[in-house]
Amino acid sequence: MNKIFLLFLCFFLYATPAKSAKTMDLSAWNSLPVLHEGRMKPLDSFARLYLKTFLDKNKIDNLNAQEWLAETIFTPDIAVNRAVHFSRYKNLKGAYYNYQELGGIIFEEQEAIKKLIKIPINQQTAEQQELVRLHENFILHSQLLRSMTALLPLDLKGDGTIKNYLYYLAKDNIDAIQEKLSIIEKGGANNVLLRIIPTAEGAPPENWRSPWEAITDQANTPYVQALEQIATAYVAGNQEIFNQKIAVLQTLYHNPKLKVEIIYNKLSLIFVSSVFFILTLCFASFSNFLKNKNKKEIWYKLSFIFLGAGLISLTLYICFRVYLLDRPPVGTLYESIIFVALVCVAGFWFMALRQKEDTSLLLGGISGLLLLVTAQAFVGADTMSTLVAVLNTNFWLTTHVLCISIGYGLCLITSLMAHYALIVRKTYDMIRPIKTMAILSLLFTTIGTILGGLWADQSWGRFWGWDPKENGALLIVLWLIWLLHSHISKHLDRTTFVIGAAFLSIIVILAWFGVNLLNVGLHSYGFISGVAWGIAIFCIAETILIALLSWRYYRKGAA
Amino acid sequence: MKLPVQLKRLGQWLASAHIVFWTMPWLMILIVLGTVSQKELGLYVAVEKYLNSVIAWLGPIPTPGGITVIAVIFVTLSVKFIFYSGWSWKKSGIHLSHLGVLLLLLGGLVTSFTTKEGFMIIPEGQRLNNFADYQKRVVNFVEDDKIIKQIDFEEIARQQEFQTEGLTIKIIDFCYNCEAQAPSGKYEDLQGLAANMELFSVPNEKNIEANFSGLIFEVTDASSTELLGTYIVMEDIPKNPIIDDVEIILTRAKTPLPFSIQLNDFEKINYPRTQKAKEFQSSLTVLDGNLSWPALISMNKPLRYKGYTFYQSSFDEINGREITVLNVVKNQGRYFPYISTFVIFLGLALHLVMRTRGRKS
Repeated sequence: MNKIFLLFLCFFLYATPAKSAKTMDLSAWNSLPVLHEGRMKPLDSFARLYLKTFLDKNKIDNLNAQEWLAETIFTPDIAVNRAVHFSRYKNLKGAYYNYQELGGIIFEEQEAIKKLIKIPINQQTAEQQELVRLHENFILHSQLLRSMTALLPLDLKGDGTIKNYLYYLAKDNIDAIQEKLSIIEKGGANNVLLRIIPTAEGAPPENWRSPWEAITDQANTPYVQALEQIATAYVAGNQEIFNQKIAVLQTLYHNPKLKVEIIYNKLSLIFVSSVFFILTLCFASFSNFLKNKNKKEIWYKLSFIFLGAGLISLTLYICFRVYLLDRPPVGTLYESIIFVALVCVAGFWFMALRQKEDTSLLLGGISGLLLLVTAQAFVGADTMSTLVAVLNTNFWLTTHVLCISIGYGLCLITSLMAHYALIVRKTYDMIRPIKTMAILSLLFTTIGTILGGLWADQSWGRFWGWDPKENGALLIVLWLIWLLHSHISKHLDRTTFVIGAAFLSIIVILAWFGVNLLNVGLHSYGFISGVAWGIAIFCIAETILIALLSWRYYRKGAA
Repeated sequence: MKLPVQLKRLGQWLASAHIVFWTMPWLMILIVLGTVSQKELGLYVAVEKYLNSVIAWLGPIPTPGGITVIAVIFVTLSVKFIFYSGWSWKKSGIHLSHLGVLLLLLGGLVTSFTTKEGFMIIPEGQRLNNFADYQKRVVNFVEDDKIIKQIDFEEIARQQEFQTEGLTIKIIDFCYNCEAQAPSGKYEDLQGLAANMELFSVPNEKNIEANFSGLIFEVTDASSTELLGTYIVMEDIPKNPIIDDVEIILTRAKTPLPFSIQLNDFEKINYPRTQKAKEFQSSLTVLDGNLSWPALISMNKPLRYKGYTFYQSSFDEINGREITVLNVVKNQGRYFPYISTFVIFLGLALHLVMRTRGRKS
C-alpha cells in the first residue's frame, strides 16, 4: 500500500500545463471514439459517465465533465487535488475528497476492504457497500489518472536550468529517476480503461488499445504518436496542434452514432421532459380551478400542448437510445421506468385528446413527473451498457418486455384514475373507463406474462418456474382477474371495485421492484439495493392515502 | 332425462364467479408466501411447500396448497365454460379468454405429468447418449462394466436391510447432502474409503442439484453371515467399494436418449475487450444410427430433436478442457401456452372492441 503514496509523488514529475483545462477548446477531442464496456462511444459520454460515477454530478468546480476528464488524463499532477469524490462514509454530513485523501481512507481501511470483497453485496450493510464503492472508484480514478502517463512529457529539468539538469544526471539520482520511472510503468501495467487507439485504420472494436497497452505491445504506430502529440499540445496549451492531431485520430473510425450520441448527451431530454410535465401540472391545475369557460380553455390548451411536448421529448429520448444501443428500449430497470413513464403520459394524453378534460392532463403530468423522478434513483446504474447473454435477444426483449412494461404503465393509469375518482367522489361516472383500462391492463399483463413463459421455454426449457419475477407479474394478473370477476359476482360494489383498482399501484410496484430485493432466481440481474425503504414507504403511504380517501368517500357519499 | 335439481344447483354454484372471489386471494397469498420464502428455503423447497403441493402447511395448520386451488379453478372454469357460458356474440371475447385460460391450465397438467427433465455434462470431444436427473439418485451394482442391479436411493435409504448377489447389505446411515469428515471411530471394520472418512448429514443446498448424497452400510456374507466390513459410497466419487468383484456406485439416475450428442467445441464469446459474455455456444454433432449432422446450441437457441430439447445451461473448464452443461427437456405440453397466448389475446382484444363499440351504440 505504501506504493500508493509513491505513486502520488510520481504525478509531480510531469510538466505543468501552460493553460488550464478551461481555456482549451475540447469539442474535437470530445468526439473521439473510445471502446468502453464493450461499446464504441464518444469521449463525451465517457467523461460524463465517470464524473457521474465519482461525484454524481455533471460539473465539478468550474469544469464540465469533459474538461475534468482532459485535466485528469493530461495533467494528473493537478487533477489529484481536485475533490471529485463525495461520500458519507463514517461522516453523516458527507464530505468531498480528492484522490490523495480518498487514497488515505482506502489505505486505512485496507484490511476491512480485503474481507468485504468476499462478501456478496446483498449481505453488506449500507456503510460496507459505500466502502466497496469508494474502493472501486479509487481504482477507476487511479486508472484514469495514469491512463496517459506513458505519453506525457516529463519535467525532469526542474526549473529548467543547466544546474538542475546536471543534478538529475548525477549518478546518485539516475537510480532515483529509474525507480520513479519503474513505478510509473507498474502503475500503467494492465491499465486498459481508456481504449482510444486502434491497431489500424477501420479496425474492429476488439482491436482498440489503451495507451499503455499500445506501448506494451510495442506498437508505436502513427496513432500512438498522434496521441502523444495531442497530450504534449494540451500541456503546452497549443490549440492548433491539438486539433490537428485529433483530426488524425478522427479519420480512423467512422460511425454516425458517435455524433448522434454527443447530441443525445447535450439535449438532456429527461430534464426537458420533466420541465414540460411541471408546466403541464401548473397549467392544468390552473385550468381546473377556473370557472370561466373561455379562460379555462386557454389554460387547458396550453397544458395539452405541454404534455404533448413532454411526450415528444420522452419519445425522442427513447428513440435515441434504441438507435445508439441497437436494441429495443427496455433492457434495464432504469429503462423500464422511462418506458412506463412514456406509456402513462401517452395514455393520459390520448384520453385528453378524446375527452377534452383537464383531469387527464393533470394525471399525465403527475405520472410522468413522478416516474422520471423515480428513475433518477436508478440513473447511476445507467451506463448505456451491453446486456448479459440471456437478455441479448431482440425478439423477446421487444415482445415480452415491452408487453409487460406497457401492462405496468396501463395498471398505473388505472390506479391513478381510481385515485382521482375517489378524490372527486365520482365513482359512478368513472367506473366504466376504469373498468375498460383494467381490462386493457389485463390484456397486456397476461400476454406479457405468458410471453415471458414462452421466452423461458425457449431459453431455459421450462414455461413456468415460479421465479419471483414471474410470480410478481402473475400477482398483477390475478389481482385484475379477481377485481373484474368479483365485480360481476357483486362481491365488490362500484366503490370497492374502484378502491381495489387504486391498490393496483402497490401490486405493480411490488412486482416491478419488490421482487428484485429478494435477489433470488433467474431474474436477479435486475438487482437493486437500498430501494427497500423506498418501496416500504411508498406502500405504507399509498395504503394510508387510499384508506383516507375511502373513509372520506363513505362519510360524505358520492358527489 | 332430467338432471336432478341438486346436481343442477351444484353446477350453477360451481360456475358462478363466487368461487373466483374466494380462490383468487388465497392463490395470491400462496404465491406471495412461495415467493418470499424462496430467500430462505431456496426456490425448489419453497415451491414444493406452497405451490406444488395439495396441502400447504402453515405451521401446524393444513391449508389448501397451490395444486388444490388451481384444480378448483380449473374445474369451476370448465363447468362454467361448457355448461353455463350463455353463448352469445356479445360475450364471445369472454368465452375465448376463458378457453385460453383453460388451455393454459390443461397445458400445465399435461406438462406436469409428461415432462422429463435433466442435464448432460459433455467435455469437448466426447459423446453422450443419456441425461442425468437433477434430483433422483440410484445405487448401481456393476459387474464387468454391466449394471446387474439398480435401486433407487430413496428406496435404499428407507430399507434397513436387503440381500443381493449373495450379500446382505445393512444400511447404517445415509445423507442427502453429506459432508466428509475424519472417522469418529463409532463403526467397526472400516473398508476402502470408509477407513479415511465418515459422512455427516448437512442441511440441503438451496440449489437442490448441488446436494451430494452418500450411504454408510455394513456388508455380510448371506450364507456364512460373516461380516465383510463397513463401507461408504458417495455420489460421483471415483473410488467406489468393490465386494466380490461387484462395484457399488451411487449416481444420479440416468435416462437413455435414442441418439448421441458429441461436443466438438464450446465457446464463450465476450463483448469486445470485456469479460462480459455476449454469447455462450456449443458446437455439436448429433449421431443417430448411421446418420450424423452438425448442430449449434446457444443462448435462446436450443436444439430440438425427437421430442427432446437441449438448452445451453452452463459451462466449466477442467484441466484446460472446456465442458458444456446442457439442460434436457421432453415436454408434451409445450405447445399449449403458445396456442393459449394467442387465444387469450384474441379473446381480451375482442372483448375490449365489443365493449367500446357497445358504448357507442
